Amino acid sequence: MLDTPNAQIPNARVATARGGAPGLWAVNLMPILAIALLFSLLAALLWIVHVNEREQTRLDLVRDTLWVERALQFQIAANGETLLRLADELGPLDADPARFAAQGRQLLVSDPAIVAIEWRDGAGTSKLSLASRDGASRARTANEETALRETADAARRSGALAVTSALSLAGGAAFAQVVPIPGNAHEGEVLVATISLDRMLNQNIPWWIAEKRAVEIDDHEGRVMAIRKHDGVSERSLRHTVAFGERPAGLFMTVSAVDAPTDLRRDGLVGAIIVLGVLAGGGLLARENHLRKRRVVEAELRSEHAFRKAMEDSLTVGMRARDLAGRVVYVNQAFCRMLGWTREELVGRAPPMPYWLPEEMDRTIAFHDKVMAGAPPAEGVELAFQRRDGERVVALVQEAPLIGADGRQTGWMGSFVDITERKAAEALARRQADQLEAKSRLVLVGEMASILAHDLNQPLATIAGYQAGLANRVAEGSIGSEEIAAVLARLGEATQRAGQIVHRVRDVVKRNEPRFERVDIGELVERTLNTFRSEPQSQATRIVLVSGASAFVDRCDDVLVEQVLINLLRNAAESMSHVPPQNRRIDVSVIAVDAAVEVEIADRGAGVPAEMAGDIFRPFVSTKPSGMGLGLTICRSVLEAHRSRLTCSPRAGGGSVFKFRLAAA
Amino acid sequence: MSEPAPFAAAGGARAFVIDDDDALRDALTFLLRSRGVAVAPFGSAEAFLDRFEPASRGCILTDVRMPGLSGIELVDRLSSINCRLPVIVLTGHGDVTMAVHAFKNGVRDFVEKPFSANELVDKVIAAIEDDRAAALKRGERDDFDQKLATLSAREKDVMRLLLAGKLNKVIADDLTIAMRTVEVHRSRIFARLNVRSAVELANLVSRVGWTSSEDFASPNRGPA
Repeated sequence: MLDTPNAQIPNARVATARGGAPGLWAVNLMPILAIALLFSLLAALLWIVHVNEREQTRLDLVRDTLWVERALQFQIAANGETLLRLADELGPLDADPARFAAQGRQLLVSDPAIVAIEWRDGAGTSKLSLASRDGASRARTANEETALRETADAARRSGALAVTSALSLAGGAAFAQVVPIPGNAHEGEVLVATISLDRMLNQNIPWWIAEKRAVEIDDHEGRVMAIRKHDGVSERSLRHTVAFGERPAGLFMTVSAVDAPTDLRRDGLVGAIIVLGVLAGGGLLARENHLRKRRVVEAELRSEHAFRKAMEDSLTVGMRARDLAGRVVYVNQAFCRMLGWTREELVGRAPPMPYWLPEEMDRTIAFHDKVMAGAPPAEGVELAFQRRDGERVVALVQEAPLIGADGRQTGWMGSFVDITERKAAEALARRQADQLEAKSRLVLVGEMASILAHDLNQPLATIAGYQAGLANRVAEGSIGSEEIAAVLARLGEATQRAGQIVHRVRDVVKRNEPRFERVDIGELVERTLNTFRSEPQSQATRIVLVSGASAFVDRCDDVLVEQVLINLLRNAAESMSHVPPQNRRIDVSVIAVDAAVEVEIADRGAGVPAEMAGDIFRPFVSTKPSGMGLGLTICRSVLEAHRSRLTCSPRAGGGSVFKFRLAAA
Repeated sequence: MSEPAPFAAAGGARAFVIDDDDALRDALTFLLRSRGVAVAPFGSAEAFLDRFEPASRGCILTDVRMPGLSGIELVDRLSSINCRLPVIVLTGHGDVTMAVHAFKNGVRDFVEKPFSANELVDKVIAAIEDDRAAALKRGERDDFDQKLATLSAREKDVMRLLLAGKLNKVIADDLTIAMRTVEVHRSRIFARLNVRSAVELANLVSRVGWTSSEDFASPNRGPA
């Protein structure tokens, strides 16, 4: 559909744009809010998940810690049991060092955490000492020795297992389990098993914990006694610390959780959500940006539109758009002003339009059909229209195809330039020029006639003189035949002189002989009609070319024949000056008839009075009050030079028919 | 055509035909002579002026368009040489208006070509007749002026008072002269002017167109 610039639409558009600005703002804000909300919810969700996970991790950690602690305690207890059993076995027997050594070594092998087993007597002197192969033993410090003795004493007293606090060994922190050897034979003797904390940790922590936990044993002062490291643990890692219990006392175990490995799926999901959010936000921003630009463009468009509207309204050229079916889809103010019809009355109307002039109907329809057929004349057409008040408007109409946004033609845009005044001025100028020309022709003819008359006067006066003198003398009877003969000879000379003058005039006329060429009479007639239509006399007269055949004539002076046609058309138009305008019609026909072309000009005028019918082609005879009576004479002369003849006959139903025939070859 | 009345040329009166067109001049000559008018043809205005004598009587028939002196210039020249012959001008087609405006005076008639031949002759004859009458009148006046010149100043005074219709006695009183003296003057005046009474004197004066206020110093003055 055509984009029809209508007066109402832009105003409405402006109103909505102004009144709806806050609404638009909310509309713009809403997606941003939604995105923000989505992001907060996501963040909350992630946070909750994170908290849950952390809690879970912590619980797991605590569980693992407790499990490790119990496992270690169990191992320590088991070691103690083994040690007690060893002591028991040693008790009833003679203290057989070999047997002790064998069993001790077995114990060392079975539990790598035990780095040394020592058999001490009551004085605290080592009776036998076994160390694991790699277990480095060193001299204990005094403090340690003291602690060991105290523990041994406690074990002796209680007759049960006693455990030292942490001791330092060369291979790291350790502690000792001391059991008394029962039996009298071994009064005061004890077995001391030194257990490396490091080895204990390495030995007794299962893989599934080790893979995700680091375990550290500290003393009460925070010194690291033993550690099972894990690369995945950092300062910030979750950790849980428990007291290691009584055996050995004063130790704390800290289990650190390995930082959870990145969860690719979850991170991917979060990443995707973030990307989505960013995209959505970016999209929103882009949209907002676009909208802002659009608003700027719209504002520009509005001012542009207002500008164009003002321009359009100030135009004096009428514009009228039609669709391909010929219906009016748009008219501008100038067009309405020019023709006196309102936009509402014209838009949507199909031809025939109310402003088409009845007597111009044929031409208007012909032009309309030409445009609709897609071939509007490039130079435009001058057409007369009728204002609503009946006044005539002459406009130069130009049509151009209307191309829609999709590149297809949607109709025709016509521009109407009001040339009524110009035409009137031209007509006035032409009329004045015509009058001047007619006057100058008259003066010229008068001058020629005067020269001719003067030149002829001399011989005529001479003839009159001789004739009268001769008559006088003859009446008197006083003249002889000789004298008569002399006078008659002079009369003859005068007559001859008059004849010569006539010959001379004919010579002058002969200089303007026609120049013959091959001419298309059909085309010549059409051209002449177009020329004539612009003449003031032709106004309000319909000129219809009944049958415009293309017909060539070999011997034709087109300038002269055009003059003949113009003359006949003028006569026809003038003869209808008293006829009502709607009946003023000239029918012109060009018909090819047996090797000739017949041109006929028929009017509906007053016709030729019967008593003048034989005289109208004679010079200085006219039926018109101001006629010189030379037009038809000239026409006849021209046509005679073309070996043709101009005939005039009354037309059936009133008017006259002027006809001439030009031989084709 | 009516029977042409033979025109007897009196006192050598002639029609002076001036036309550069030989044929027309010849035809006019032939025409005028056929009615008994004496003709003197001239091929140009200059030729006519060469042969012109103040004593010539008759009329001039001239064409308006001629090489050399035109008809208009000829008429101007005639008034300057004090020629009183009546002039008839032949004009061509469309020349009449021009000619009437161009000739301020001194033209008796305009005849447009082509003309009716015998009417032209009639006009020529009438012009010659008028010229003869005018010449006669001019002769009487000349005679009167000559006689008047022989009167003394006192006699002219007496004559003026006589023409005013005054009696001898009143004239004597006006001029403070004796009645007898007035009578002597009066008889001398009558004798000189060849009249027998005061009535005859009044007739003569009126015929020659003399008025008592006229300047006696210009005896050759023509009739008004």
